[in-house]
Amino acid sequence: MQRRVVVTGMGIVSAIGNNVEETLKSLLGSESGVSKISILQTAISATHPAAEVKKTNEELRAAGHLPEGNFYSRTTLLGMIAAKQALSSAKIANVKSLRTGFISATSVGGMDRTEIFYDEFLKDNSRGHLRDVITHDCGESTEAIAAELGISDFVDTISTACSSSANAIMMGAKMIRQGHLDRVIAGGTDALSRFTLNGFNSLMILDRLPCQPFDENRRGLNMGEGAGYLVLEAHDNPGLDEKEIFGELTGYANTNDAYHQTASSPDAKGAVMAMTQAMQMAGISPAEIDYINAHGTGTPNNDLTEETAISKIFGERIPPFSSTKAFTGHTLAAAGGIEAVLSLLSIKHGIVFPNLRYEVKMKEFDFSPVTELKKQKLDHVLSNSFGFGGNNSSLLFSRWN
Amino acid sequence: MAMYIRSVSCISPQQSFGAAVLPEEEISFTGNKMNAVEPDYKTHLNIPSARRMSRLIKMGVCTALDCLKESGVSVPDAIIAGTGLGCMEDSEKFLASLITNNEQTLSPTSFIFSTHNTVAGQIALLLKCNNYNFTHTHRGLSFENTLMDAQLFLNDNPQAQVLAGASDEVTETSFKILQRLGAVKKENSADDIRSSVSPGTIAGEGSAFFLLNNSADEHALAKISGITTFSNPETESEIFSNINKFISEHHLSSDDLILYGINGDVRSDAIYNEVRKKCFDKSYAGYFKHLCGEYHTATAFATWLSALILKNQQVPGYMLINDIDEIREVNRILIFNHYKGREFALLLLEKC
Repeated sequence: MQRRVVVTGMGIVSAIGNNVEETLKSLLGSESGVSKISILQTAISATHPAAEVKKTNEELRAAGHLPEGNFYSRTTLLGMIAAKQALSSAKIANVKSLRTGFISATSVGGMDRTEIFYDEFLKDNSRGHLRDVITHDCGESTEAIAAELGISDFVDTISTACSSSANAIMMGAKMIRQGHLDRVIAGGTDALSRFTLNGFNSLMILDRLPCQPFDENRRGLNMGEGAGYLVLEAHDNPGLDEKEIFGELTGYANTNDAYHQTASSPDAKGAVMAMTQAMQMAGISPAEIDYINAHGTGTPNNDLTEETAISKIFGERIPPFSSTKAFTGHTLAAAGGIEAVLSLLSIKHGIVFPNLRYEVKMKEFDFSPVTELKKQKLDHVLSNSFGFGGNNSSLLFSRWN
Repeated sequence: MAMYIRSVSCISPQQSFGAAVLPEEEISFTGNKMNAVEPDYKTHLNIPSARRMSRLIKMGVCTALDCLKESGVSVPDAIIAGTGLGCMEDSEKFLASLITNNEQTLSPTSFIFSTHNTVAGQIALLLKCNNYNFTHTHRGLSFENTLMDAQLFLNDNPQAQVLAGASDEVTETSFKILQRLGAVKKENSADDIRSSVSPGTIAGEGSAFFLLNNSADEHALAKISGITTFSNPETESEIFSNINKFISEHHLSSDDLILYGINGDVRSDAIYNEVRKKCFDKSYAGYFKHLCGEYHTATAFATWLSALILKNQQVPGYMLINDIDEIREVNRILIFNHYKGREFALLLLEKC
């Protein structure tokens, strides 16, 4: 029998909090992190709000007690803070005591620094600080965080656009289930950058107001930044009895919509397959799903496709669902990690988080997301992450017993 | 571990595309850059969307589709791609455009194609393949982690056909930055990677895809029987203990051919010679980067090379380090590679 994969640690940083406690407080108080951009230097800060972590890189370094001297991109700094929290929440004092991996996701790695390099480089190819460009590749942030955590057994970076960190968690789970590793710190990190901000703006899918996922009049998404990591462990690891187990990863699936490079299909094929296969793997029927933490970006295309998928799978009995991106913005490759943490908080505290700013039901369907904080016992929570390149992932977290 | 290579396709600085056997003579390089010999995409990638694709995407998609065609599999059960730097050309284009236009009225095309998973996504799109689709982008281990993922998938799905490969490109801009970093040799360098004693390597590029499955039948070109990776070893003894563990696990012997990732950079090649002296003193030894250059996923090229050697039992003389005219029989090839002394990989292939 394959080993079961449980979650023993979580770490998170986003616009709604610098750790799990602050994040939970914001969620309970319906405090959104979307506001005017003030840290990132961008020409469109006045017109396009985002869910920014309101700390400069120096402040992040100080707040996270991160080593001085090394030069880190913002993506690395955010990731380090969340990954270190995850490790300490799992009460792991020595990462070498078991075979431990670090699998991290990022969409554009150190692009926040590359942009600064490029401003000068474009004027004159002999200009621009090289230190700003050597942190460009996606593996850089992963290696820097792995080094800070002391992990070297297995290190990997996944980049599948906005489903990246759900896939990092999936990869970690597979390594544990098949016995290659005993535990994995898995999740993702992405800093706001002019590159991604303008990329989504060029596609005309950014909301100039705070976003309204699943609303009939939704206008687009707000960008966000942050990082979220889980500590995944084999259920038979020594010492697990003394640890808090936040949940079990009972199912997961990755599929491809194979419809369009950036748009999702009208029949929601990839999304339906991802959710269905995750439930099949766990041996859980749709009727047993207590909550869906939806991808719910707030774009007309995504939200229509996702409601189509939910409607096809769940039919008459639509489980409570909401998008927490109205709180955190769309944190791209970090979204799957951040929302995995939120899904586990849902199970732990028995809360369905509200879908902020929802007003009008979509005309295509006769159901709505949860709009008020809802307290109930939750046993099984689905977390969806969909990305460019047709990439669809669903993770299924269950109460551990 | 065990998985079988059913078919291959490779674009590289050599005449590799469409080759069923290794060329008798190599294209040799000095200077500081090797560009891939690209096929005529009008013939081999005759699709409308190709005109919007960067060289990297074309190389990736073209080798993936060609590999699939060779295998006779129409739709794979998984598509897994590796890339060290992803779609640099599109990333550079969008970055330049947003800076030049002060973030106003930008065309989204290059942004759309800039994500690291574009190659895997485009393959899925062209094949209408709804199955598992992953992209690993972990520096010098991007290809090895891709293979690891393929093995995990085949363990969970023993009947599956997995399309896995890796692609990287040299762009004008990325090359300028490599030059400024001192990562490549001088433009007028006369050094061949095999005999270089100067700092810097020769930048390379390419794409190689493989159809992998569990079928040890007569169609199999080679078997992949072991992968080990490790990152940031703190001491040399940590490197040796990892290698020695692999040697004893796989009972490597002097009959095996070891391909070293020697890249001509005197600053980082020393460890290859150390390992050769201490661990593989009597084994056959070969190079591969004098054929493909240095890039994050160069071991995908080495895997293509190894699969053809094992299938055809022909080792071209231009690959060998030892003063041996020929090797009569090659049963196993070990690819030993490191990227800048940070990411280390051992990849073992066997004759079927």
